[in-house]
Amino acid sequence: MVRIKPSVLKKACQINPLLPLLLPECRTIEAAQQELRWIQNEVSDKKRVRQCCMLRARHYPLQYLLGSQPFGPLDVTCQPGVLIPRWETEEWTVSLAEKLPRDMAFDIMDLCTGTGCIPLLLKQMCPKCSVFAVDRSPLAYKLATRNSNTLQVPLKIIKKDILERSSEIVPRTVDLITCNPPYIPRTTFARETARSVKLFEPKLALLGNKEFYANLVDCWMSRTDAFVYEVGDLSQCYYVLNRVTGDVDLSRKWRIGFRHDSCGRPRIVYGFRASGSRLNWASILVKFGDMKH
Amino acid sequence: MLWKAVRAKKLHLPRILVRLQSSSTAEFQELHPLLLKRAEKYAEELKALEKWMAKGEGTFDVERQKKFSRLCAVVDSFHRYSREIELLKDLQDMMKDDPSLRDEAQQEMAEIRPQLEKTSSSLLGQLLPPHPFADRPCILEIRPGVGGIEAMIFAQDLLGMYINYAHNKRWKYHIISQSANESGSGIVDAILSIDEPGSYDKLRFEAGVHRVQRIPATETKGRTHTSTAAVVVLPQMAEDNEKEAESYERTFKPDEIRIDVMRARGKGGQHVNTTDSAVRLTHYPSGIVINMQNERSQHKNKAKAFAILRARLAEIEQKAKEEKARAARKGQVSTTDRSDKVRTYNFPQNRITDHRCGFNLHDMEGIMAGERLDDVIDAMQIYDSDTRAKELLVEVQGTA
Ligand SMILES: C[S@@+](CC[C@H](N)C(=O)[O-])C[C@H]1O[C@@H](n2cnc3c(N)ncnc32)[C@H](O)[C@@H]1O
Repeated sequence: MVRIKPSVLKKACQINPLLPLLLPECRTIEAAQQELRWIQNEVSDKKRVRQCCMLRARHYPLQYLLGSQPFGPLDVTCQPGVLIPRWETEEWTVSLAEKLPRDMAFDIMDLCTGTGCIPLLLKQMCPKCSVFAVDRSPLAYKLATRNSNTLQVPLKIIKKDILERSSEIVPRTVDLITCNPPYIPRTTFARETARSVKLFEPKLALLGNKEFYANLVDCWMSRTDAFVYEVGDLSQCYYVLNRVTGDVDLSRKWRIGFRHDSCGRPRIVYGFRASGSRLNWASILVKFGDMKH
Repeated sequence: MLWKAVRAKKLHLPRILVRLQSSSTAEFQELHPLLLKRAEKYAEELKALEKWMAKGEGTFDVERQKKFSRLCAVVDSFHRYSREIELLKDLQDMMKDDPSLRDEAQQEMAEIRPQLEKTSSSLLGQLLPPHPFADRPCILEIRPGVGGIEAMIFAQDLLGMYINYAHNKRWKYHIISQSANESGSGIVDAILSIDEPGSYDKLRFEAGVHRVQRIPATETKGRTHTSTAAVVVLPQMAEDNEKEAESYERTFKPDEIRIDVMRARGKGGQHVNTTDSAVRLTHYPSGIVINMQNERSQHKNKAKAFAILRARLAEIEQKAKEEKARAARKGQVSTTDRSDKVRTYNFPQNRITDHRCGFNLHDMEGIMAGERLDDVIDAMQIYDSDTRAKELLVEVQGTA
C-alpha cells in the first residue's frame, strides 16, 4: 500500500479533522469527503461519526458501520460475519434480472447466498418465480432470512453445505442456478486482497478455488437447465469450459459463455442446455456475455 | 365612482385642446388587436367547454381539467383587462368633455394605471403560447467561472440562494450532486433538483453567466474583485429514479451511450470492498458526458446521470427549435447571446442588475435569502412576454 503524503494529510486536516482518518481507505481527499458525507447522512450522533471514522482508519468496512449496502434497487442489510455484496455482483445480477422473463413461473436456486442479495434481487424482479437460497454459514442463514423479511421478498432459505451435502438439498431440479462462491485461492489471498477484506470479512466467504466449480460440474449441472457463476479470474472460467468440452456428453448438451465486468475483468462463467429445457435459455441469455462453446 | 356621475355631460372643446389632452394621457400601450382577437377566441372556447361540462356527458379527465383552469385564467384576465381599459377610455372621454373635471380624472387615471399595466402584462403572458416545458420541475447546474476561489464561493452563494428560494416557496428540492472545493471553501460544481412542477418556467431565466463584484474575504488590500459563476437550467423530464432511468436507457441504441464505472486497481470482486459507485455516462451523438458519484448506490448514480442526460437533451432539442424559428425571422428581433452575462451582484452598492431587462434591485440580503428573487424573475417574465409578443406579432403579421 502506498503511503499517504504528509502534505495531503495536512490539507485534509485543515478541511475537517476527521478526514485524515478516512484517507487510508479512501486515498483521495475528494473520496474521503464523499465518505464522510455518507457517514454523516446515516449517523446522526457526532460522537458516533467520530467513532466510525476511527474504525475506518483501522480499515473496518464502511458497510458494517452503516449496516447496509445498496444492491440494485434494494438496500441490503450487512453484518460482520457475512460478506458485503460487491458492485460487480450487483452489476451482473441486475443485468441477468433484466433478461429473465417477468411473467413466467420458474425455479431459481442461489448457492452460497451470503446476505441473500442475488436471490432477493431476482425474486424482486421476477415475483412469479420460486427462489431458493443456500448457505452453510449460520450467520449468513440468519441475515438472509432477516433481509427476506424486512425487504418483504419471500425466499426459501436452506442452511446446508453445498459441497458435502448437495444431495440433501431440495428441490432436485431447478431452471437456473446462480452462485458467487468463495473464489480467492489461499496462495494469492495475502497478496491480492485488500486489508479491510482480509481483516474483517469471513474467510469462509472468500477462500476457495476450483472446488466450487468442480462441484458445479459434478453435482449441479445435472440438476439445472442453466447456471451463472461468478469468478475471480479467467482460470476458473476455463476450468468449467474445459470440463465441459472434455466430456462428450456435456459438450453435446451444454453451451458455455464468459462475461466480463465493466472494468473489463473476467467475472462470470455461465452455461445452458442447448435444447430440451423448459425455458429458451439461448434467447434469454443472448448478449449476456460471449459464447465460448 | 367619478366617471359614472359625469358621464352624461357632453361639452365641446376646441380641437386643439382635445389633442393636447389626449396626448398627455395616451402613453399607455394597449395590447395589439391581433392579440385581443386571440383572447376572444379563448373566451369562445371556454364557453363551449362550459356547455359541454354542463351536459355532463363526457369524462372530465386531467387534461380537460388543466385546459379548463387555463382557459378560466386567461378569460378572467381578459375581462379584467377589458373593464380597466374601458374605465381608462371613459376617463379620457370625460376629460375631453368636461375640462372642469380634468384634475380629478387625471388623478384617478394615475391611480388605475399601475393596475392596468399589471393586468395587461399578465394577460399578455397568458396569451402567448406557453413554453413547452413550462409545467416541468427543473434542474439547476451551477459552476464557478472566472475568479478562482472567489468564483467557487460565489457559486456556493448562488446555490444557497436557489435553495432558499425553493425553501421559501415550500417547494421540494434535493441536491443531486455537489463537489466541494478541496481547499474547503466554495464548490466546484453542484446540481440542484427543484421538484415542483412549473418551477422550470420561473427559473429558466436564471440561465447564463452571473457576475459578482465584491471584496473577497481573502483580499487583504480591500480591493473589489469581479468573478463569475454559470447557471444552467434544465427542464426535468422525469424523476431521477431507477425505473424511469431503465426505461429511458432502453430508448438508446447500444452504440449511442456508454456507461463507465470507476476503475479500481487490482482484481476487484471479492478482493476489495470499497464503495465504487461512481458512474460516468457518455452520450456519443451529443458529446455529453455526465459524472455522478454522490450516492453509495451505483444504481442510483446511474439513474441520476440518465435523468440529467434526458434534461440536457430536451433542452438542446428545444434550443435548436428556437434557433430555427429565430433564423426564420432573422434580424427582426433582438436576441441575447447565451454566453453573455445576465446579471450583476454588486455588493458594495447593495445592487443587483439584470442586464437583459435593465431591472435594478437594492437589497442584496433579500436576494441571497431568496426572498426578493421573485422581483427579478417577475421583471424578466414581463420582459420575456414583451419580446415574445413582438416576435409573435411579426409572425402573425407576416403570415396575414
Ligand atoms: C463470496 S460469498 C457470496 C455471498 C453473496 N452471494 C454475495 O454475492 O454477496 C460466499 C458465501 O458462500 C458460503 N459458503 C462457503 N462455503 C460454502 C459451502 N461449502 N456450502 C454452502 N455455502 C458456503 C459462505 O458462507 C458465503 O456466505
